[in-house]
Amino acid sequence: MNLFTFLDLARQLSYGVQYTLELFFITLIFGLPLGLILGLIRNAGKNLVNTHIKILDDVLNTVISAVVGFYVWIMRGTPLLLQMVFVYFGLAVMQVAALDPFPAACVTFALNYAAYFCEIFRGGLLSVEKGQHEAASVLGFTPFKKTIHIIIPQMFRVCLPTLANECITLVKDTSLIYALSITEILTLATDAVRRTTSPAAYVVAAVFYLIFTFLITQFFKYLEKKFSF
Amino acid sequence: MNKTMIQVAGLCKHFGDVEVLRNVSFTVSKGETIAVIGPSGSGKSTMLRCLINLEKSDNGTIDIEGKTLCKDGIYQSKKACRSICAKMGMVFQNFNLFPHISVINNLIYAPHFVKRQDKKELIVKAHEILAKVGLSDKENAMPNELSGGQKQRVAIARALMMNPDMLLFDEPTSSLDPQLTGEVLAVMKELAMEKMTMIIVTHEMAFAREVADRILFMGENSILADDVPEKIFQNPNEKIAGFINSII
Repeated sequence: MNLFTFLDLARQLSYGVQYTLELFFITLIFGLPLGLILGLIRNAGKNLVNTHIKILDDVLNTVISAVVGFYVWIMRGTPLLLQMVFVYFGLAVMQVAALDPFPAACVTFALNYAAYFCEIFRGGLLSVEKGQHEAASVLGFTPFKKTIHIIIPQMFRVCLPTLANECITLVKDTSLIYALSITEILTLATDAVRRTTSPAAYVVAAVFYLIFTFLITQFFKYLEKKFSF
Repeated sequence: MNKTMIQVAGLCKHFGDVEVLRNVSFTVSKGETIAVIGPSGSGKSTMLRCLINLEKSDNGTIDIEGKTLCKDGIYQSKKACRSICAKMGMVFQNFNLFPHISVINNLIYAPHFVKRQDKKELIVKAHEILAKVGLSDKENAMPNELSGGQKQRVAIARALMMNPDMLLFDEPTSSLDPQLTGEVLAVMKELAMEKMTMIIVTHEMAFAREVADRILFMGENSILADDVPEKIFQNPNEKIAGFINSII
């Protein structure tokens, strides 16, 4: 493969980068907050709802935590590809919703990754010592303010390495939207391989993914440095 | 007679089947320094934690500055409990400083975010209080850069920032070596001389004897003696004598 071929293939594949990037950021923008909320709910467990009626609290807390647990189980327990084709083809066949391929992929990715983020954040929340909760509480912090100012900043640092891992997986998972015939990098590469009868386009595609994952790794290194204490 | 700050009557507490507090009653007046002593497992810390609502009592009544925190084991609303307990500050054995923010932020976070006080005024006040505990040069340090004694003095300063009427100390020097213990006790002694109302769970007998106005001796999950230090140490009953001899 000479340099000219390489650059030409890179130019062709670059039209697919847009979808990869969009899917990546949309998944994070919706998946991270949803995952954080789910993680906080799961972590609160029996203390989530607090009316003054004990039986009502017990019932509500049990139901809510069971629902979130079920959601996480389904999302982590079935393949992302299956979830995506279900949202795209399945919902259309059932005449529930006829989504375009890209929106269908975005919805599935955000919902799926939220389940993983939920568990990552829950792990981080568990790592914050009980004494931190007690110190904040005797200083008069309400549970909400305590979570925002004291617990989440400490949890976040603990979560960073695992989040970096998950983001790298996400970059590579974006290639799954190939199955919905969206013209992302892998789709374009396959077209080029068929056209040129040479696997060079796959190598170029690999370089694209490597560049993304390298940038993500660097970004998380920076974050870890910034949030260390 | 000074104003009553804390009144506890018939406090009972179980952890599962284990009884931790049995019918504990005492009062604390304004400006008093109370030392709580006794063997491990006698319920000292649990009693202290009940006062500031970190543990819920099963039965009994706790009044803080005339306001009822719980009556016969039934608590006020969460919000009411928070406002009643806001009169008290607490210092822990493990310091529990917020590790992700600097010393000065440890001091101003709570009054700023909880009481919505002005940040500039809080910084001025934080400087005064840091000077008082001898840590003026540490305002920008992170907690993990400090020694244990310095951490505990920051923890005391952090509690003082909320203008508490009372301070509760849960074995404040138990994780410190003797030298660092001294610097923390010096700060507490100064507070006692300023007539801050304090309840101190401690194993420092010499400190308790010198500084406390009254000593509560706890054993077998209840208060076995409540008296001035001279009486406790000079004419101890059999159980207290046994305890004191065992630790000296």
